[in-house]
Amino acid sequence: MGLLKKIPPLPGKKKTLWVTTLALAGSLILFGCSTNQMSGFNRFLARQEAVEPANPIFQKQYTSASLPRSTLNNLLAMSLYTGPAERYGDIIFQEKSAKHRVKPVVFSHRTHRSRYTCRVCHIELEFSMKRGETDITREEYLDGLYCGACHNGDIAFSVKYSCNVCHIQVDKQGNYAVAHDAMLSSGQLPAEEYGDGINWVEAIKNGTIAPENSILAEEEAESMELPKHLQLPLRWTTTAPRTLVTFPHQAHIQWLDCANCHPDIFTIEKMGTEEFNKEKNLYGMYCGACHMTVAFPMNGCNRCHPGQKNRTDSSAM
Amino acid sequence: MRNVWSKMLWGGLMLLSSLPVYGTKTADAAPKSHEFGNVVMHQADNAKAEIGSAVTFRHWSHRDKYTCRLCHVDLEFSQVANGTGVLEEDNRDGMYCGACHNGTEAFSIDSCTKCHPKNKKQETAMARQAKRDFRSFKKNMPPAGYGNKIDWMKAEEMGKITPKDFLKGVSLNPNEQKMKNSRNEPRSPKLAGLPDIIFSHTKHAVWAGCGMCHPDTFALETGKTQMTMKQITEGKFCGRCHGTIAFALNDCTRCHSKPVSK
Repeated sequence: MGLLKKIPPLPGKKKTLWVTTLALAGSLILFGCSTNQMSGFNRFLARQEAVEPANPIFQKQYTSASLPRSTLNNLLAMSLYTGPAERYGDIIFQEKSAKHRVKPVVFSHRTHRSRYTCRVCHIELEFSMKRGETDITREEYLDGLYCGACHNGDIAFSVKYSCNVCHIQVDKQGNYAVAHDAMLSSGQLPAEEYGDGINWVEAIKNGTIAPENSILAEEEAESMELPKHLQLPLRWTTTAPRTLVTFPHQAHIQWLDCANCHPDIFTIEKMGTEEFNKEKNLYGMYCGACHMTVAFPMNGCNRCHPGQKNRTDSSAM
Repeated sequence: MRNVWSKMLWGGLMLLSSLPVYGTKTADAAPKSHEFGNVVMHQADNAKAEIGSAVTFRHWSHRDKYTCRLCHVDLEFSQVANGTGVLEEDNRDGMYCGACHNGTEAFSIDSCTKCHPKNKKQETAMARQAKRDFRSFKKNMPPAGYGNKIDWMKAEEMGKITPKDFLKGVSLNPNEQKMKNSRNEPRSPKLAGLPDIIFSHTKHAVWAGCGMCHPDTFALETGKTQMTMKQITEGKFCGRCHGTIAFALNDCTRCHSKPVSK
């Protein structure tokens, strides 16, 4: 208000001229552009609603401009996974081992997730989602924490004797011998063209695997049942129809707890997560926290953006 | 004319710069049970000093012995980190930490390095020791799914811990008749399909008395306090304690406990 008062009053004739031009410009901005955009979007909405009537679409509005398509394309080409399927999701822990002159640990998400859900390790066993942040010591895993919770000789091979199963040689190029897993090489799991080569969501759906969701002996931690409106896949889009995203809560809670994502990575408010966009995902935030390194990588465009082509061949990009 | 435009431009720029800058989040830093409820006390004049000198206060090592109310009402500890402004002089005078850490109730504040680590190395060693202590403490406690992964409420009910609510010379007469409110407040979430919330006054009063919540955080009249779950996750209302110290907000079903009425 203080600023407005400082503007000197304009002489009569000029004032009316100004007011009319401003009003014209204002109405153009308010009605002209927005109606054009909205009608296009509404047409799109109507089309989508005919396909899936029960499920509403939320329109996302960004406060900042999006990346140019070419830049985003380059970014996608750089960050999508093109390595061997057997190594997707593998993590080399070498922060501590190098200091203590033991071979690094190569952890394979792939062999573990056919047996346990993400929440078992990332909630119950307190493994951080960031490499090196869990700060595991030998004393602790021998005492039944972290890896030692399962690798005790009862559930899985013991940390006391089978050192060389996990502590393996990794050369300077990051190459190592991938351990053989009978379950994964049996060919029973539904195949996928990208990432670790397995469609895990499909594998649970068709009953090939039934990963355990809790290893707490005392009482089974029970997740809250999803309210009805969250059982259907959520659908988001901006004003551009190609950005339509479907997000199924149902497929996620088969692996995760509400707490893995809410409220730290995503707020709990409808459309409340600010600046949640494709670039940030590619930088490893939001969806990218899992879907760049462990869960299926973003090569599988079609899994979230219906109607879009997958990017499976790196040379074609 | 140029003058007007430049003023408008500056005004616009100022408006833009005053807009909040939203932080973006990556994966959650570990859900570490032994670090849940830790508060690093590092005061402004302390910041220039050695990195190691900040005190890491561990709520878990205190709450088996004392109620929340004792420190946050009787000893006037703020519920905001570094909001109390504790001085060494105050501690020596028997205020704040010094009220208990006097050599009789707990170890004396003369053993500085028990709380103020000398350097980064000692800080790491102390954290590691605290983790060990936490592990052995937790073994005898009823388990929970989140936060400290200790069901403090159950531990108190079972008699595994008996938190003191009275400190001689600080608290009022322990025999004084306390006001009692054993009413359970049912609350229906705004979002349809979520389980109803049951709020128990009795369970809260054991730890917090009345004054920690009323009338500042919550109005005295039922249903008068308007809150959303988003606000709670931002550390308001229930989130003042739940999420940082009391059981974590991840533990949905602890509050949303009554099945949805169909």
